[in-house]
Amino acid sequence: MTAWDDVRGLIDRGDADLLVEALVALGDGERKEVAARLRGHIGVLAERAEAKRARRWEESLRIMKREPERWNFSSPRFPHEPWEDWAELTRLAGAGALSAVTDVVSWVNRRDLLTWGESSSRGRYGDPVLMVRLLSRRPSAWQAELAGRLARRVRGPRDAGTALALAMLRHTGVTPPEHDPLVVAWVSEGAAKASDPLARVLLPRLFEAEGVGRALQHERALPDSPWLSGIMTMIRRGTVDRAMVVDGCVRRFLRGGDAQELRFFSRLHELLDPTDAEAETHRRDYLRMLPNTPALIAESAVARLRRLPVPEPDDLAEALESLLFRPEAKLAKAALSWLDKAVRERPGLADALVPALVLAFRHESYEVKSRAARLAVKHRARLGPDAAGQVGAAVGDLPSALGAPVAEAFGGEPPAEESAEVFVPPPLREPASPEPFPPLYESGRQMAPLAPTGGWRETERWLEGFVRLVRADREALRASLAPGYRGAHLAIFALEMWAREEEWIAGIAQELIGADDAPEGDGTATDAVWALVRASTTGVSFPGRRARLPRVQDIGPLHLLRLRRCAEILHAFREDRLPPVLLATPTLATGALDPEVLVERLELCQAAGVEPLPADLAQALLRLPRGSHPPAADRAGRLTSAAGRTAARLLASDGLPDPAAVVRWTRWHNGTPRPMIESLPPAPTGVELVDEVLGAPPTPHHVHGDMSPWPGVLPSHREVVAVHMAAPQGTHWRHPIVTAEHVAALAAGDGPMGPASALLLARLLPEGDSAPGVAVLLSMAGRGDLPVTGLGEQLALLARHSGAKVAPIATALRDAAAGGAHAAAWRVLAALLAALLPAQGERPRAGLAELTEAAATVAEWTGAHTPIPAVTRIAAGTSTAAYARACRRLHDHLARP
Amino acid sequence: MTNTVQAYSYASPSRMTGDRLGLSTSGGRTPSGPATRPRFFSGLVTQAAPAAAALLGLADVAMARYHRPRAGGGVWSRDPVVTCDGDRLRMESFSACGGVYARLDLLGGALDGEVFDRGTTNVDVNRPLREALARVGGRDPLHLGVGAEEMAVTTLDGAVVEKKVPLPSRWLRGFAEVQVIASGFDLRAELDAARAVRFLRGLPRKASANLWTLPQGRELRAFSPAESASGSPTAGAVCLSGVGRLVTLHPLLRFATALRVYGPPVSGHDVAPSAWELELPGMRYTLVLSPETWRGFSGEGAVLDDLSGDDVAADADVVGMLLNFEPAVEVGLLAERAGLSPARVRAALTQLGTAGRVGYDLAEAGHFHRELPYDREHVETLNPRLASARALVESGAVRVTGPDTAEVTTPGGLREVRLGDGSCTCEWWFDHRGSRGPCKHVLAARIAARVTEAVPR
Repeated sequence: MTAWDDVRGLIDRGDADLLVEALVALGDGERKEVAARLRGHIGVLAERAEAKRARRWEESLRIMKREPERWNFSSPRFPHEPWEDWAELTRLAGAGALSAVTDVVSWVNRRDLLTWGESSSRGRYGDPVLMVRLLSRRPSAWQAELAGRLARRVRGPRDAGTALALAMLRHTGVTPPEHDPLVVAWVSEGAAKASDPLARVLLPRLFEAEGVGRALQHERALPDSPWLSGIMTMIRRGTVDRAMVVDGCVRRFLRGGDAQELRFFSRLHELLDPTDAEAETHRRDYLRMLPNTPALIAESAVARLRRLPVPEPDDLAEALESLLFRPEAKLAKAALSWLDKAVRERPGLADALVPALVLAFRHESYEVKSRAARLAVKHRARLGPDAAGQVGAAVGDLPSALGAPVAEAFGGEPPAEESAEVFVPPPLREPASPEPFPPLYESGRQMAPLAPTGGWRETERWLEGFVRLVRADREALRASLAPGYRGAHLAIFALEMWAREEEWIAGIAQELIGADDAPEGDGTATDAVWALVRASTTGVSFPGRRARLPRVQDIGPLHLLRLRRCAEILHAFREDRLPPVLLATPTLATGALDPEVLVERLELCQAAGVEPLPADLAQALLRLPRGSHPPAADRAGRLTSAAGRTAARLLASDGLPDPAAVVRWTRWHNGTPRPMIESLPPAPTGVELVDEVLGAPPTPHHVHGDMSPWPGVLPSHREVVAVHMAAPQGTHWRHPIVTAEHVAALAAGDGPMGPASALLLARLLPEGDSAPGVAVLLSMAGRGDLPVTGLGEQLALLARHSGAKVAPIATALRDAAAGGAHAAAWRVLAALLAALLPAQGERPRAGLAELTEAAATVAEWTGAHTPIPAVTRIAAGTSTAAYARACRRLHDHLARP
Repeated sequence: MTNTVQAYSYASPSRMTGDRLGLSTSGGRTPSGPATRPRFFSGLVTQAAPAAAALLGLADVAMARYHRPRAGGGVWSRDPVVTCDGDRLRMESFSACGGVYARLDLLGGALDGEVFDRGTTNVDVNRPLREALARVGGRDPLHLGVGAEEMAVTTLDGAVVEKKVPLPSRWLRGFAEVQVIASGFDLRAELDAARAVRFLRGLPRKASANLWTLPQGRELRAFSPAESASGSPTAGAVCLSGVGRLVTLHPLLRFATALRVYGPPVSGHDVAPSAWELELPGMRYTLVLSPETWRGFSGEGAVLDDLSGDDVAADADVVGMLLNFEPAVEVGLLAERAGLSPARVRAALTQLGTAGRVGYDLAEAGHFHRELPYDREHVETLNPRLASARALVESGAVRVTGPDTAEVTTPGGLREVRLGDGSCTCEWWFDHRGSRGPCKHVLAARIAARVTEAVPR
């Protein structure tokens, strides 16, 4: 039995300990033999193990199938078998048999061996102890080189070779190579113990290696933070030099990085809380980290520096300037109080610090400006003439309220009172009278197959053209439509449901060209399809099988009415009872229908002796302008058809009733807020399909189709359309499918605008790009029917419930005001302020400052003088927050007679 | 794609001793030829703090991967390149992702010292040096030395620094081509210090945000791509993609006196590269950003048309010999000396630009001579698309079928090319529509068309 047989047998038996012993005992020749044979053997072992694993998987499937309930949440376990460890043992065998260091390094990092172990034995032999025991029999120089090479191969914490590399470094005691990923891997292994031989070398590198900060960024404050508490313990016990750690943190801050990268070091630094003596040795470093380090670290540095004696004038001036240049108000305020303290202690410094003080005049924060102005006046006496001149020259950077006392003290140019710019409102555009409906088709040749984006007006024109032209000259229409439709759109016949108008139109066209026009057959597959099409479209199979109309709860009543019209045209055509003309084709582009035209069409139908189609009649009635139409009603009264009598009755009435809508905010079970739209059905009109549209409850599940045709279905009842548009928003609130174009089309119609319309409008304003929303506001304000109160209410509800941001709303309203809708914008802003200003003890919400500023500006533009109680209350308070200052400005304006 | 390895060899690490900043040099080129460790400058930097901060910015760009940053090391940092042209020092670095180019021009006013030689070299930047640079304060004096003699004082331990970093050809090509791309930019906006601060601090926090910017009065206004969809970016707009790539400007803001923004003419909604130049006392810090974070500068194909001409290579040889590390390359003067038309000199400069032999200074709107200190043959054989095009021509795959049309036979089928608008029927053209320059078939057809024109029919 050769050495190779022996090793192979031990791998098969899965006995790691014996294998290590056997490998150590190998002679030179035997090692060579094993090394030579091993490589070729990997494939054999892998294949065998794969097969066994597959069998085990099948077995477990069988078990689970027998008792599905038992294995619902887990899978069967099997006892550990030797073949599962083949990869780890082969890895050991190679490490023991190969002689060159480089060969061993690449062998133990072989991906095939490492990945198998990962998924089977959970690294049982991945524990590097056995490997180290095996390798420790090699010469020590060999081991040292191996350790170094393994360490340099580490790519990061999740590298499979990390454990062995670190173990070999520990075992050999070699100084780890300079390799940042190794440090990151060591750090990610868990907190170092004082006994870890690597800590001595790697701990100082913690502060230098790239990526350590990110690896440790989630270390929280004490006590559950292994690294932070570990380092602090080692410092307490004296195993780690405290000075080294302090120095490491400070140098790490100097090298820069973002808040995430530096978070760990910042926490460590806070825990160390360097003494004044330590801070003194790092004084220069703390000074230099002020301009660019993340705010928390800069704050800590300022705090430490302020405890030290006042630095040299140059250093202090530079530190203050860099702090006051930063955008963070907190740092700037700290700098100003440092400046104050320094000048009080050493009045001679005052002149040198004036450039910093003057820089504060330009700070973004009002609070900082105001403190700087007070400081300037306070230390006036300590300043020399040059410095005083500098302050005087910079007074212009301060707002007038702050600048006046400074100008008085320094004799500079007092800042001009911000003259309220005279606002000349641009004229609002006169509402353009609605455009007429596009001209109707004259011949079938114009009726190209509808592109899905053709728009609802195209659909109307197509249906109208079909009904009229098929009666006038059926053959000509068929000849025109055949080229576009023959063999096209056949997939629709495989559908259970036709939820899109294009599908119905294709169906109608196929009915025309397919019913009695068989294509020239050449025995190809097309023929078979064609036969199927004919079978499905000819009357025999159709009505009995499926109506293909969706249900109202699936698509909503507005879309359904449009589909009903298509369906009834298809059926009437098949049964040869098409009327001469459609009733509902609009006369205006908004979808509105002239009552006189409707009566004319009814007369045509009566003359032809054909009863109009019911959905067509309902749609026509829904498109009538609001109110009663006596002349048309009189003329319709002379009609004898059922449709004529219905039309006469409704034309004489006060118009169709409007349902009332309510918007309530509720929450999903997971707490997400959503608006609930409810609509109270109006009194029935007696026309079934009209009542379906006006009375159907809004459903949140409009699964099909596009909303853009809806305003054209009900051009005189905007709120009904808005209710149905807003309903699905409950499910897709954050990703609205109602766009500005939808709302613009809605607004172009007629009829009252209730809470649902206001909600849709409001929804447009907090968007990133509010320009389209502002355009809708302006056009509605131009017509004078902007629902200002409702809009204010809905905006407030949105901000309160859905987390919509206030600042963009303020900007949008200000833009609308600047565009000429200032009167309406002011009323919306006033309603919003009343609802959003914080009550006593409430935290002000983000964006209030912008909102109040916008309100103050717009109030000045409009000359509004009605006080708002919430504004009065806050203006009387003591808060210096930006929103409170704006409230004072607004209050001053409103209270002015 | 070929990858080579760049081996830096420095006499010692760059370091800062007291107020003396010594930058070690490795490999380069001077008017007298290649040099291992050239010595260029020794003297005072009059504005220490901005110079130190800008150098740190350069080092940050060299280390950064703005596209898919890698946590925890594994990033190769390629050392900055310094060019001395007698009265100024230009230091350049190029991000590891190949999408951001940074240059610091230390102008004559910022330097007070002795120039020993002119030329280009790499300088070492290391961790202790970065710390030392961060410690430089505004009132500290700073003595700068670029080159060997300077180091003699400090190299007590005589430790030679050897660094090896991979030099992917896309990185190298991008570094070279960015100059050619920048030469197509125009000044779009100039902001004073206060407005520059307001603009840069007002940008979105999200590093990957993409914006368009448009000068309005003396301000620069940023708007989002969504807004531009309603009205396409108008003339004068500058694309800013990956706001986070401007991060190295922020530490310099407190020294800035102006911000200048450059960009190419924009067309439609196509994203575009841009350049951002901070004017600092006595120096300029410029960042050039690629059109998108994930796009490096190589492969933009901006230069291929200029290069596909036959005479260009010969012209470039002539022009190249006339360059002498001048601070500014005068096209007129070169044309006169080389006996070429200015247009041919410009094409030659493009060729030299892609070979890494000239840079482009946006503020002065002119080229300057510098030879990237990398293996020269390697730099010159870049441009695989052009190489493929030449191969197509040589294999006789191109058939010119008309004054404006040609057919190129490829293993993937016949490609039909229109020379006028540079369109092609290949997939690559379908994907990019000219946004990344002409495809290899168009290039091949143009080369072939020139040959047929030259030969009387």
